[in-house]
Amino acid sequence: MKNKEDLLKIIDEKFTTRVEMSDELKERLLNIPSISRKYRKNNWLLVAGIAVLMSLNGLAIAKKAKANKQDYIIEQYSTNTLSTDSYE
Amino acid sequence: MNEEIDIIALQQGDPKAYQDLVKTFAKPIFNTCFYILQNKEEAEDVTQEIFVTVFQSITFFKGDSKLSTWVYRIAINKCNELLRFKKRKKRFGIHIPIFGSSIEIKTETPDELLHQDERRKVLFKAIAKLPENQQIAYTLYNLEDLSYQEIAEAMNLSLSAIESLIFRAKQNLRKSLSEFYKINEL
Repeated sequence: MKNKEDLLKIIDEKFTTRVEMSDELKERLLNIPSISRKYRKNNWLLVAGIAVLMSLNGLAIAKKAKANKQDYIIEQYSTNTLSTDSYE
Repeated sequence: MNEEIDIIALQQGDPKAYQDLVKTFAKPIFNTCFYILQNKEEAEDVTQEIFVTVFQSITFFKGDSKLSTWVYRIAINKCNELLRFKKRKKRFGIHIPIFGSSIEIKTETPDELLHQDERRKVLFKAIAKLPENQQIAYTLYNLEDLSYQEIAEAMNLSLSAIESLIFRAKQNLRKSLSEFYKINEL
């Protein structure tokens, strides 16, 4: 019984042993700022790229709409002219 | 721990301040993760994640608590997430290898790495079976020189909750170890 009590004492003992980190991990931890900055720069470039594409797309849509409107006006004008001619 | 680190310089992205942070906290945080997760590879990955989070969110640190408490809080949250994920996976995941036997990845646990005696091996196995909060509170208390108050702040719980968690953890461990010794008649 006393033996068991001795064995259970381990529960109250502190963990005194420490494990050394690998050099690779140390390196990885120290490189976090540069990698993070690189990612941030890449993210900004990506956002800027998406913004450029979206504005190009917007411009293209606006141009197409303008062209369609012009075609429609011309079409309407020619139809009106034709129908006026037919009355004559 | 905190006094050595210039928090304002750290928030301004000073590389020297970040190096000081790594020098001060890397080893204790890695050891905490290692003892909580009981797996060296996972502890390394989580330590890296913790430092990424610390670096990215240091600007949000207002100085309400000690820097060490804040870093430990991030570490505990990350370890807790992984522990929960592992336990959930164990509960619901049935792993059936498609091509015969699965490849076994050898990972180092505290007892293997520290060449611990039989008693320690049994203790670490019993710790791994504790509920996450008890496991973390007990490990922090036994590993780091943190007071109950500091553990409470790091775990975002009240002082009485921490006392109760550690008390219940010890009770559960006593129960598990007693059963083990009864079976094995050590």
